Amino acid sequence: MTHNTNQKIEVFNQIIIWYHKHIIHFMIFFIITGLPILSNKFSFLAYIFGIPVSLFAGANTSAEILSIGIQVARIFHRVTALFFLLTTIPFVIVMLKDISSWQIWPEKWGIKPFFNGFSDLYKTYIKFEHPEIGKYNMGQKLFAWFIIFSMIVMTITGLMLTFRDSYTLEALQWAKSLHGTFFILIIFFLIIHMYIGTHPINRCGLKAIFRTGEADLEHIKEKHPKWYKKIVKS
Amino acid sequence: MSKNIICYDSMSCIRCYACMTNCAIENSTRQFRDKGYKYEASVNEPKESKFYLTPLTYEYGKYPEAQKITKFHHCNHCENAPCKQICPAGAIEQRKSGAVVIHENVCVGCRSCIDACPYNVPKYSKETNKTSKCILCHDRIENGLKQACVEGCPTGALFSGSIQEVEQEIVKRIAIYKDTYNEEFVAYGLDKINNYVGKLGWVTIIPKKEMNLYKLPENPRSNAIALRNFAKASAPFLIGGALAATAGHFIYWLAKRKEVVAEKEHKEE
Amino acid sequence: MPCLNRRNFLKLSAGAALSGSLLSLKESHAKVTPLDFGVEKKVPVLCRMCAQFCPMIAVVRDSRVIRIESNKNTPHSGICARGRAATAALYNPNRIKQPLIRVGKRGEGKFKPISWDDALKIISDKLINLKNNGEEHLVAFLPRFNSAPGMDKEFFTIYGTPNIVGYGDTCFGNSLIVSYGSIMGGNEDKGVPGGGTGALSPDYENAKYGILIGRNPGGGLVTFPWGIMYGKGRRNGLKVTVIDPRKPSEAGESLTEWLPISPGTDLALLLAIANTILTSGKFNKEYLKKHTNAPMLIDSEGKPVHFENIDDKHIDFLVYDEDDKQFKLSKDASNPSLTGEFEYNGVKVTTALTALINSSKQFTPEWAEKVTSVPANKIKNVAENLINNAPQVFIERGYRSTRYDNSMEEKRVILIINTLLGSIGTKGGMIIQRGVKTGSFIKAPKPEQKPISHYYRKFSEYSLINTKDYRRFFIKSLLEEKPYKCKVAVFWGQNIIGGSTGSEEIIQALEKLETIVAISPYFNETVLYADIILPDAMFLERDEAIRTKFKAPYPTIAVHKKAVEPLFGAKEGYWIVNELAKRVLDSETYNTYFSHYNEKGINAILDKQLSKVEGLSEDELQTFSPDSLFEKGVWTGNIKYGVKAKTKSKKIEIYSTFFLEKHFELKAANEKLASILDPGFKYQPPYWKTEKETLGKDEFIPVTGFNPLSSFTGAQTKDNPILNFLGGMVDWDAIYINKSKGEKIGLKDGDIVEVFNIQKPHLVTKTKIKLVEYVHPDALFSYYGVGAGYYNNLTNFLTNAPKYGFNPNHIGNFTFAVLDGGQLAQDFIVKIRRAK
Repeated sequence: MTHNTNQKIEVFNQIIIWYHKHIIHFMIFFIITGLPILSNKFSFLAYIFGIPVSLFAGANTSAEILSIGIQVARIFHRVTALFFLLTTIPFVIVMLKDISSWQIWPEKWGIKPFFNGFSDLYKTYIKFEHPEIGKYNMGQKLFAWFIIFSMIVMTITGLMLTFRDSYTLEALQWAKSLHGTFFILIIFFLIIHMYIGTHPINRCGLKAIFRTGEADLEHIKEKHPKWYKKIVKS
Repeated sequence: MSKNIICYDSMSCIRCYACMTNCAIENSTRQFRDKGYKYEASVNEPKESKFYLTPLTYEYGKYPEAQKITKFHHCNHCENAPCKQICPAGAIEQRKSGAVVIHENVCVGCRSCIDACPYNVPKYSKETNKTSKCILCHDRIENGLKQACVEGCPTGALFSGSIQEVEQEIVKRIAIYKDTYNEEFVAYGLDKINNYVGKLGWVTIIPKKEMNLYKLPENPRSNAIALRNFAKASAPFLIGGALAATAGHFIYWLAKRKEVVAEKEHKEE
Repeated sequence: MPCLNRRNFLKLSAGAALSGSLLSLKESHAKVTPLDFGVEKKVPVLCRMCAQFCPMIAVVRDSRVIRIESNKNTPHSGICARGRAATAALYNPNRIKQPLIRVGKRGEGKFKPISWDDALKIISDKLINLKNNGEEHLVAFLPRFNSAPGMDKEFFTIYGTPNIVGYGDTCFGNSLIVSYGSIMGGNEDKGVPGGGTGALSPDYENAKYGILIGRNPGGGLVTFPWGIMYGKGRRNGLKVTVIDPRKPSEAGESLTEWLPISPGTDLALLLAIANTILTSGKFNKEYLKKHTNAPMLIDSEGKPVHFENIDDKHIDFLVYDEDDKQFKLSKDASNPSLTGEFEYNGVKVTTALTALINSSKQFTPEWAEKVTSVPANKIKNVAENLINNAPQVFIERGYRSTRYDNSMEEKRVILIINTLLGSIGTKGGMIIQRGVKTGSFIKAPKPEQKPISHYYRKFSEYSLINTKDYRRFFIKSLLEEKPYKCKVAVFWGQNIIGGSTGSEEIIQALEKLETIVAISPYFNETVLYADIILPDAMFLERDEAIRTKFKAPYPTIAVHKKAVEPLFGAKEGYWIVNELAKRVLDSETYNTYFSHYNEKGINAILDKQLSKVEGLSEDELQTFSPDSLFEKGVWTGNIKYGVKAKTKSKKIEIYSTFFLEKHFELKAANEKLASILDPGFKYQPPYWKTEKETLGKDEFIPVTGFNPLSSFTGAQTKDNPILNFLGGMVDWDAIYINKSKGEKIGLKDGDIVEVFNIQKPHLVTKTKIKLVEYVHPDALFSYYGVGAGYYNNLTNFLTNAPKYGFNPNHIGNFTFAVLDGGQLAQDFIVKIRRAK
């Protein structure tokens, strides 16, 4: 490979980097506190919270320890949610300002472009080639939209479940159901996201999101040709 | 302790509410006995959480073909207790008798059980941040007494015992009612109703054509919670699949990379 | 990240180690063992949440009554909701806690506490004062929920007053009793035969079909044994038709026929049923021949053409024997003719039954439909069901009987129809009660003066009144000051203001008394009018005499023991009476009657009672013993089927000769009254129909029924926190009217409205209204005694009880039904409007 220029392009701005780091922390807390609430198979996590607190609370039986653990988990979950909202709301406001220049919009609509997108994904991850894609491939775009959508769902359902008295039983049942279902879906997609994000073929992206926020223009020309064209035009 | 079920026979009920009153009184006794709370104070504090059994009235038809139905609202002690399945604190226990019991000192007040119950039974108290419901008087039945409501019923419209005993009496009564009124009767909950609740630990005898008047659903189920249960059941496969796919892809990539490197070396040579 | 990793690792390992000792839920709640249920003491008591004395068990733990259980030693064991909530009545902080003396105006509710000594002195001084003036008869004792049976009435009788004023004239004590006596005969009350409220029990358990008319067996009282028998009957396949201006849930909500009827017109419907049975000829001929005076031969005036004395108490009448075509006394005839016209010694005669058939001809179902609003075909259907299922059928007599001007005749026709169907004394029909008597503690000498009731008996329009239950005549006598004006009234658990119709006049009358004493555990409208109040012990706080008076058709003997010591400053009834007796009576009289109690306490009374047990059969005497009685709390005997009438003719007088006698007595003086006493069928409208043939769009008749959670106007239920909670859930303090009628006058369900008697528009009551489909358009239904009513400053004392609500008694008319003298409790017109 020849490295002609060392020109750097901003891939992710500081705000995005800041938010991404924070959201990872929030996700960890959400997942650790959410799992024991979702399923008894993860009760051991509640015990981890419960045991130290029980020393003060004077709980005797393991059932009471579990109870305290769940209460701690719920509190941490809601505190995390508060911080999540405090960081997300300004982030969303800032991001919405540039909504027209978001790179996650589809370039072309239609069935054929959709299948082309799939074939691009196949080329990228199975053949390890470099198809004609922009900054993000279709999979990444779909994941982005999924995360936006599920964050909205989790926020709304989460708020409903926190402020229960204002809602009917049926509404709350759906809130609980969607909160749990999307939780599972989020974990599913996060596993894939984290794998691909940390995979060697994405080394430049990883560096950009966690450290410099920049990538070489040459790299972009090679791996994201459509995006390169856009950059060169402006 | 073998399974103990209750049957409510709406045809011989005289709507005297002795059952509901006796339940509330027994709960005052429990506060006195178990928590050392003064009986004379407890009995003067009627709270919703003490009344496990309540009357809900509905009206149907137009005068003079009017019908008022007093629905006996109570926990059904479902075989597959959805409340127990969903409780994250493990506060709900299903005892050997079939009694589904919320243990107050373990309850965290999250109200998941309220979401899961298809009969809208558990009641939450803001004051104590606990949810409560009928406990089938497990303390009484495990010590040879009848449930407080059963003991309270003056006409024998409520009766309880082993499944065989109760079933025998149900069959006997339904035969008489069918003969008297020339109508079909059901014992709601004696047989499995659906997968969501299974059989019920509290059976109701009513005319079949009045099931909807008594608000006894043919398919008691919260679709939302059933979806959540499905998602939970699928989760191991889903997550396992994700982990397997990513692991598989990594191995595949390693293999591919070896090929590429080998090819490169081969080229350079 | 690295530091988290280490911490997480430590946590994970700790968790893994502990997850081995996973949860054991059994330890996380109180351990309950058989010992918890074994440390409880069980005391047999007789429930007084209403006044039926149902046998029950008070369970005591650590000196507190913690729950009520039914006494399983009867064939019909069970307690209603009211009894189950007795502990909440016991530990009610609104109870009267010490003796009180009035400081404000009567009825204001301003009292000051005084000591027992002072209170007893005031009362006894007054009684002594009157005694010294020969005015003992000016003291009236009015017991209802009295707590010293065997000693309280006796004390006042010994003291010298004849005015022991029962409350029953506002309930059963007139039309139910007189109607029974006129047909079945019975104990004579100054010449008027009668029978108690339990004289007949429907045999619910064995009946196939029954009519509930003006009665509901769940909310209405008498759980032991009627409520329980009804439930068992339903389980055995009993079908009922309910005839009521309101559809009562208690009779059954599914597959139960309801015929809504215009209030007070029940008599018309019953006449139509009698007409259908008689004109179809499908009455029980064998039964009528054997057990009744249906074949009795009467002349054109209606009088028996011939009768003979067969002993010094009984007579026999003439019949026509079909078998040998001879006239004979009924005891000699093998097949007396039920119908037909004959000539006896030149006189044209016919049978009593023929007279009844003829008098019933005009009362067709079509006629009844116009009066009652019940469709004729439904009435015919009811009659057919009765005929087809006879004799395992019954028509309920009801309990609280006089509500309308025509109640007496209504109750009489019910008995006649039961007789026509052959149900009385038959299994599956109506069981005739068997009673038992025990000895009395005191045999009080009869006072010289006559009670007030004897004075009113002399008037022809009151010729059938009850001389023992006459509280409204007591009020009348105060207002008129005839035959004399009483000076003192002692109300022991009797709420005359809340429980009798015409509270306005009642209060006027009470104002004329010099001293009013009220003895009660709880406040009520009458207690607020008292000058001296004594806190009575609540029923769980006292020993009592053995009781034998129950509604059960089988002999019942039951025991009542003290479960806990009286709370606050309350005292047992026997102590109160004993203290009064000590102070008021001279020492000789006192020692004669009360020293025994001083020595042995309650055992003095119990010993005397058990020294004599009368009325039991041979095999019943085998099963009874005092030891077993006290151990089990109650003893019961057997049901006996079979017909037994206590009339002079020893037959069921379907054609009442008692009425016939009275008819001729009154004929000259008062044609109208005499016509009511005709032994045949006649229709009398309720009073309200004579005022208005059709009600206006905002006019109603105030109908009441018992709520299963409440009991009269008693604070033991109304002010009971547990019963109140449930009562609120079923809107027990609201009034109920027909939905479309209410909507037409612009009302909505849940509105607050004002109700008043059109004859007393100044007495306006505020209440919540519910618009429902199960009430007749003519009726305004309310649960008896639950609402605060017009005289509602009682709500300041009963803090749990409903703040609003309607009590028809408060605003009703102070009038009397003719002949039986009962109250027109529901027989007036009210108007409603939305509250401002």
